[in-house]
Amino acid sequence: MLGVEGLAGPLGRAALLVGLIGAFFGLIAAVMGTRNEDEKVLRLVPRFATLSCVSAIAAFAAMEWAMITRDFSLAYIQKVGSKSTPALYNFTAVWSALEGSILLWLLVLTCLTSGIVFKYRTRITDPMVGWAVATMFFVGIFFFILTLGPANPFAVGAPGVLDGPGPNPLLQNHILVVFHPPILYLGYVGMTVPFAFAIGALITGRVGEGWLVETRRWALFSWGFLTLGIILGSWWSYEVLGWSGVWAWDPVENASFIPWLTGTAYIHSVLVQERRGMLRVWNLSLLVSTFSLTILGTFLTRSGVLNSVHAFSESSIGPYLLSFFAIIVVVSVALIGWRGQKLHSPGTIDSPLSREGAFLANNVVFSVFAFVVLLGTVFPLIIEAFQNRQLVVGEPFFDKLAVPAGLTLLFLMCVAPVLPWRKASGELLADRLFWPAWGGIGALAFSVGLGATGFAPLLTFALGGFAGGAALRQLVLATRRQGLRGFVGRANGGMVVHIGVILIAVALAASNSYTHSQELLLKQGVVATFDGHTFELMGFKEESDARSTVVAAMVRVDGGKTYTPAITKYKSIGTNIGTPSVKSSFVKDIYLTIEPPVKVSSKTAKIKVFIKPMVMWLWIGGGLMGVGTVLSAFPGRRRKPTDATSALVPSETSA
Amino acid sequence: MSDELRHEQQFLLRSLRDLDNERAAGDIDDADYAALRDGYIARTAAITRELAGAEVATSAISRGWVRRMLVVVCVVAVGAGAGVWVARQSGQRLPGQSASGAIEQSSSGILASARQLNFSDPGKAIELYTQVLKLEPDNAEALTYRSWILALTARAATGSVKQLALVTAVNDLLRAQKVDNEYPDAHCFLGIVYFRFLNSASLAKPQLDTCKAMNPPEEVQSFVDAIVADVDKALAK
Repeated sequence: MLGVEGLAGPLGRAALLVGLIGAFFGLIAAVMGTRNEDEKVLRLVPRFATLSCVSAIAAFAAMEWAMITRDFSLAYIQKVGSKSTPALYNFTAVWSALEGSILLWLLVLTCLTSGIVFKYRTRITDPMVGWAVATMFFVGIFFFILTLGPANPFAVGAPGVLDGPGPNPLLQNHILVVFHPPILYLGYVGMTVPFAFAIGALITGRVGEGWLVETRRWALFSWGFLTLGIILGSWWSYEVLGWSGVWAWDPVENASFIPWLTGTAYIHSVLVQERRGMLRVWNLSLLVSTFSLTILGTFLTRSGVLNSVHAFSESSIGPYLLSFFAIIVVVSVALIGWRGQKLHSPGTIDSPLSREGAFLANNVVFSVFAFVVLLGTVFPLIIEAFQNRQLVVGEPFFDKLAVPAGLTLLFLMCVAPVLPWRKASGELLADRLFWPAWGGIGALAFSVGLGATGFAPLLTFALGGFAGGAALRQLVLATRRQGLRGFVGRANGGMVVHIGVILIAVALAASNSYTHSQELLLKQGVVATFDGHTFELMGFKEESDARSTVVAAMVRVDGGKTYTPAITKYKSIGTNIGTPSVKSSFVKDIYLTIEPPVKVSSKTAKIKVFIKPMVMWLWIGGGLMGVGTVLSAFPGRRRKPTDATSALVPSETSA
Repeated sequence: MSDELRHEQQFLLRSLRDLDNERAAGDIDDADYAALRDGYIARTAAITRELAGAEVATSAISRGWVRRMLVVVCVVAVGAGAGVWVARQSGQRLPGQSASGAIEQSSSGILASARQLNFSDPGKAIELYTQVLKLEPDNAEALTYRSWILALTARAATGSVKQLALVTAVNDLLRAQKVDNEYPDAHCFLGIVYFRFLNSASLAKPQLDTCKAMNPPEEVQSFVDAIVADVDKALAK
């Protein structure tokens, strides 16, 4: 007879099977109902969506239950569970490896599908909605098949196992593991919604601007979560990995960054289509690319084909993901080809010096950037597949690409917000760019006055000041007219996002260009000095429990607070993980790590010190991007898409 | 086709209305307004004529094709250029390294990579140990293993090259012992170098005894015992 602790497996498997059936019949109902215009059948769609969503919730709950009760009858719990893992990290261990992360993906996807069906329940007979829902069910079926096949989290494990190693040590020493993966997944999976509506628009032939209006907020929602997930990932890397950096162009980082680039291009170019009826094929291609890149990214990171700090163990999931990726690309391209005539844009660009011209330039930069990052990420994989040679495309390659691309985008952020649609005259530009340009000159003078050197960082600060001035100009004009409501709406919220991006660019330029580091051999009672700061080893702190042994050096910085860089030895895995300790301020961070081997008896510690300017502004910039996204999503008293950029909002015109 | 033309005609008529609004809002100056308005009116008139049965201007069609071809050429050029650039920027991946980017490795990370190359790629391993010694000149493990690999590869050399390599190896092994006298590998390797490569049993004996006293790992225990026995035999002669 099964004990309570053995029930999670059968329950989870049953829930996944029921969910698959629900999604399958949901797909059939959506397709048949839409094709035959059968309202009765279409009315069944919400029930199937609810069934598959409730099943996914049940399966996820069963997995959490198995993890909490340490049900070692399951192979997944044997792999990532441990009796000694603290409750919080035991909870997050569910998404710490391949099978659980796919289950989390499925959970978010089925909830989103249910949400879409609920939102459009009164318009379920609209063929575009019907085909969009069918597309979401199709994607859902794929993920249900994964969880029942090659990535089954409820597979039975070897008998007699009473304990496991716990999750990867890097996933059990920081609170961000609770937030970073689910938020990133909301971004990834959220891209399914605009993709599904794009497919719906292509199938029905309603490829005008209507489908964009339907999906605008969903695209923004997904982009916002993807942005936040990436920022949290960088923060986690900074706080956990001990190398003092935030971005290493690791394949998994690139896998999230590439769809972010195409997604960012989309939320800009979609404005051109709404306003000028242009770039229809381009926008559809960007959406298809963004969604398919999330699947390709999942293949890269979850199939074990790339060796990375994030890559999970070898699995058979790779061919499934690649096949699904191929299906998405082929079907989408075929549909776009089929609707080729209808996708012809009636508008043309009247002048490159116009808002649409700037958006087009922005799109070219984002797309080339995304393409080259993708190429750099998959190139070693392609060479390994065909020539059996193991190559690496190193950080300098990506940096050489990122600096000019970033500077070009900053320049566009200076000019684009003040440009009108169609054509800008020289006088108009001179008038509107006057104060922003002074912002740039001021930023340059200020940074030179502080002793900043180097062409690229100084250009970044100058363009940052310029672009910040352009964004502030827009916000000042809007708030003068509308008060606090001037922060709300797509254009104004977008400017808040721009300010966040500028802060990040400036912080990255400063921290990458002016970081100083030194390895100090600290002796207890002796004060060492580096870069104008004092460091004194006050002693060691050693803590041990069933899971790990932590040795922390207590280092007093500048005669004030004591910081504790540590090394944790995880007993069951035998891995040593360093944990940095950071003194943060608005001006600079003092980042301390302890270097092995640690010999407590010798009363000495080798401490690596990094002095990193402006790092805190990265997180502030990330927060502003989040706030700006929320503000952009609010409808506000917005202009019609066809209004002039300087037109008054409706309330003013009526007054 | 006529549907599309009608759609384009409506779009242009709407554009004319938008243009008036934009001028009123101060976004477009008078000269640009006039030029854009004339252009839209001319295009609207052409479409209206076309809808009425007039022939399509062939020059417009050929211009469209030229533009498309230009876009295709540009895309192919960017793709090819990016491919060549990526290929030129790629390099040999080391054990433990990810396929793209790199977290700046600490000395312990580089040591871990070097250890895995000791036998498969000794040249690269020496390079990595040298990298560690640049970061930490007193790293006993890097000093020891670089010397050991150097001594092993020197066996194939002759004359002064061999001599120089062995002298360097011995000096670095002695320095490793000075840095950390409790590190057994430095004693074991130096004993072997003295006995096998420099034929000096008397110099090898104290090193190998120290090595044995430090309980070397089980897998090399029998090897150490065998070489100690050989040294004892040589000394007995």
